[in-house]
Amino acid sequence: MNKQPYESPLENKISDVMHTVNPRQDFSESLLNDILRQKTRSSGAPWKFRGRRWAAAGVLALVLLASLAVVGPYRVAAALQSLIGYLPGIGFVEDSAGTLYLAQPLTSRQEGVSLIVDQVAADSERTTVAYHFEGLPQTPQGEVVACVYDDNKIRLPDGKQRLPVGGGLSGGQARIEFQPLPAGVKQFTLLVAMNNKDERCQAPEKWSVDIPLGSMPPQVTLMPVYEGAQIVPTLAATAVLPAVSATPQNPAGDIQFIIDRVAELDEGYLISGHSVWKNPDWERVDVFPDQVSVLDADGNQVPFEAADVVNQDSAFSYQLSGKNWRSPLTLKVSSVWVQGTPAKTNDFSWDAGLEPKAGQSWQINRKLEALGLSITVQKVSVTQLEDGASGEKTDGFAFDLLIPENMNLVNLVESGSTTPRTSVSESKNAQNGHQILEVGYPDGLPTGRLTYKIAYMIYNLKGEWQTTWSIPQMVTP
Amino acid sequence: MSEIISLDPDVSFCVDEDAKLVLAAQQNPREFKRLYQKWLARVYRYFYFRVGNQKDAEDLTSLVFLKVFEDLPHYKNRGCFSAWLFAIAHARVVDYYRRGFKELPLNEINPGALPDDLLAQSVHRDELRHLLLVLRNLSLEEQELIRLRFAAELSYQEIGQILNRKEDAVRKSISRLLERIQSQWEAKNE
Repeated sequence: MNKQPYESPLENKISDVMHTVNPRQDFSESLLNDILRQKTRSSGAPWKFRGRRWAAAGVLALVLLASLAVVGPYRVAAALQSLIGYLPGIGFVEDSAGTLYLAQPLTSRQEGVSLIVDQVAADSERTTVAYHFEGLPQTPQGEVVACVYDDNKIRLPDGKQRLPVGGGLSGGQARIEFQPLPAGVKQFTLLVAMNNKDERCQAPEKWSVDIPLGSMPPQVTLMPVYEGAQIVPTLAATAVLPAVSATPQNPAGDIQFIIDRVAELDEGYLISGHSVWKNPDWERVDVFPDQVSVLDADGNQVPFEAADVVNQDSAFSYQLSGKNWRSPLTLKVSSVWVQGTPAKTNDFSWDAGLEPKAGQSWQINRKLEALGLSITVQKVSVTQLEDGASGEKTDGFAFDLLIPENMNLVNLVESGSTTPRTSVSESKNAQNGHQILEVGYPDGLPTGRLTYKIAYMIYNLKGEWQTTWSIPQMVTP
Repeated sequence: MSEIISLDPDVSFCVDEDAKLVLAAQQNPREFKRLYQKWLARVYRYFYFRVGNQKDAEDLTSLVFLKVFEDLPHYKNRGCFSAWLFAIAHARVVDYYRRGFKELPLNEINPGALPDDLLAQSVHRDELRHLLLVLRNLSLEEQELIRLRFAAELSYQEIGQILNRKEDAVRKSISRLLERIQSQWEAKNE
């Protein structure tokens, strides 16, 4: 390739000097050969990912899989390891110079109670705060009073407040996620309060703690995390068995579980992943710990518990105990909870009259077929919903639904109105397969001929799914 | 690590040669070789003068061309191919720094790290060292302009598209840089 002449001698001089650097011949040839040897992607219906982040992870995995052939697995592995780290108590954190931390735990004391902010990590994706309480007052009987600090916010230096986007509370421990901090912001105020103070709770109701952030403190160590091409699925990973309750409309064998990240802890591993599925009518597929088992290559049960470090629909995370397991490990799932919205409209109608009154009811007895399941709307009644906290009452309709055994919830929505109505809903599972769905209308009950349809359903599917994986650091048979 | 690389579609100045090479490669992947051969050295030099060592420059170069080959079927000639290519390169460098690798200022690049056959070119080596000493007076952004203009051999329009600046502004910036470099170069030689 001839380089192009520039206008001035100096430009040509600079160009000449830079052209003394060239790629090695063998590097150039081997890279081209490796590129041209790549297989094209296979065609077929795409898996439905939840959210852009998972799609991006898929692309990253594909690019990195290809790059393994060129640069070698361990260099790429080293690169993958250091992009994300795992900080116990906080979760996944970007391992970069821009990530900010709390230098050391902060303690705020009021009336004999301490709020201890254990750790904070703020990267480009989120700001995570971990704290706990000590010294919460006890009742005379020795029971710990449930002082529930469920109002968590952060206040930025400009006065703006931010609500949580994830995380949660468990007893006196909290791990709360917020949006990432604006560029240049290195401090905020943590605001913790009780939404509805229990009269028995004698602890202070509100807390305000200033949190200064800086670079990673020397005592903090991020655990290595493996993702993408470093998580090696074995041939068995594609072994997806059909579900026991599969139907032609909902072949549950379409569900797969993908391990996205593996963090190597001192005493075990933390895995996070998500489910993918093909059914276009489904919005979420969730799995819970009691439906999961983890086995090593010898069939030994690996103890684990839910980790709650991933804040997305259809995601899961588990902390596995112990490190002497023979790989590969297998995650087995025996049932899933599906949330779906039927594409085909399933609706029913009745005439509520001009002034529906308390005590009024209508027999509907209409069977709705959706996502391979049958729901019968037996009766609709006028009711009042009561807000447990404020005591405020709202007029509404109670739908008496007969639901199949594996269904958790059906939600209905008015479909006949041209003007959307504000509504609140509450569901109660009554006896003998009945669900009572109450829908309240703060702006007044709808009147006249009303049509409702299924908004979404949550139900259980049984099956035998599994995904098998390992990372190079694990013991292999 | 989502990566959205979009270019201004209102571009009418791009090199037709690249458009033809891209089209040929899209129709027949084996034709990617021509595109590769045209841009490999420029991408490599861009990375080399950014990261300062052969190994990382090779790794980054590999990732760029793998990505280009991967995405080429979906590429549409709505902007300069070169701008798309170096936008990918720039994104790889951002990842590189996120992993904690420090930017090696040009003045710390050791000419001794150059391939052996270049060491015999003593005139070039002296001039390289001389150039590096002069360039250290530039900011990192100014060094980036020099790399895109002379290592990557891009036009002012292409650089403007990558850096999201007007061609005129790029031309003036580089012109001013060269004036400063010229005077320092001459002062050094006195």
